[in-house]
Amino acid sequence: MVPARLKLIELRRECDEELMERCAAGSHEAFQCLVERYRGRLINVVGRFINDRDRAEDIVQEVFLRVYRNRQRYERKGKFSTWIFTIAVNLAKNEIRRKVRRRGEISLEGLEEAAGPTTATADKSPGAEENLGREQLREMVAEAIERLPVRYREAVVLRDIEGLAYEEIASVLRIPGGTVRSRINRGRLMIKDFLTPFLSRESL
Amino acid sequence: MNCERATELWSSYCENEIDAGDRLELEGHLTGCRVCAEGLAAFQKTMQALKDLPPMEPSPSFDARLARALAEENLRESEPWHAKLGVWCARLAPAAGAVAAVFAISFYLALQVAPVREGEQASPMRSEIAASAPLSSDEYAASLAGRASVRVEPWSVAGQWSEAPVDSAMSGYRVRFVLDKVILEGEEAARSSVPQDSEGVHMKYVTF
Repeated sequence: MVPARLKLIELRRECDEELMERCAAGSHEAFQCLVERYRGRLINVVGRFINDRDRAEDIVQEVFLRVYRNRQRYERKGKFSTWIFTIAVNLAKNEIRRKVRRRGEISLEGLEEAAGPTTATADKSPGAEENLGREQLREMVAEAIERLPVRYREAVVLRDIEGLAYEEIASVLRIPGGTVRSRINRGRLMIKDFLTPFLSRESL
Repeated sequence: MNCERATELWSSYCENEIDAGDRLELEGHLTGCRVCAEGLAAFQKTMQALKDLPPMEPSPSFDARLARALAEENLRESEPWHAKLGVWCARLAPAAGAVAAVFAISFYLALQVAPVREGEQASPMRSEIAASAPLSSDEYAASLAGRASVRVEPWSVAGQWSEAPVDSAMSGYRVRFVLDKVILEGEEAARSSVPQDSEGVHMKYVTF
């Protein structure tokens, strides 16, 4: 009999799709491996998307529950990572919708253009241009991401935070590859424009 | 290459995914355009700042909370079918009630206000409701006090509304209320321009 510890080590060598098939066949250890593999990545993506780690953990928990509930229906057609990131992005967008509704600042029709908080936390006047500390810079970058309209934010986060390939981002967001590229470029430009007043040339 | 086109290429350039022709053109543009050259430098720094963001790590309690949620999920899955049915019924009850209420209200309103087309039988229920709230011409005239005109629709010609002075709208009609509308039953003298319904009654709708 194979010791449980060894079994887990072997499982960790398997690809996502094989693990998901084992999970569908009733292996809790296989699901545990998927959780280990994706929890950090998902919390990072969702957390940067909504700029709220605590809420991101709730959302990621829901992502795993949905994967678990649908394990029997999983079909090995596409990549598992595309599937799980699609669920995560959709739930994160729902969270933004809820926030927008609570704020009552913008209609749902305008969601695609919905940006994050409308008031910057830092002084954006020309006089505020100064060298920022590393921690401050991180906060500013996080805020800049949060202020992006959703359509740019999701593309930038998947590319620059998670490091997904352009093709996989296109699959997750169900948009053409060319659109992914232009949205990422546009999103980065917006972040650059947001950060520029705060930073001297040397500080970035 | 103009500045707009150059800006579109910044991401591909920084990620070394630009084709050779575009690279040559962009680099040629950058040598002659200080604004784009500085913009690209800031863009590269921005990309670096994005890369330098530390990952958001799961909190120490994340695994335990997920394990609890999965255990609850397993418990739900192991429940007998009738218990699940009960849970679903409880979840769907408010929605089912709302749908039933909308149906009931729609059905009721349709009976009250739908005009009867020429040649159709008038709905007995609507006639009964109309008859249950008779209003004399005088009372109706009083309710219209201060109004210069009312909107009048011939009974069986839907959509052809017209403004009519209160006096002429009232002339020679009996008045009945049906919900927010008033049915005017025409007298002999006023019938010539008003269509009949299947029972031979000349009528008009007047809305407030």
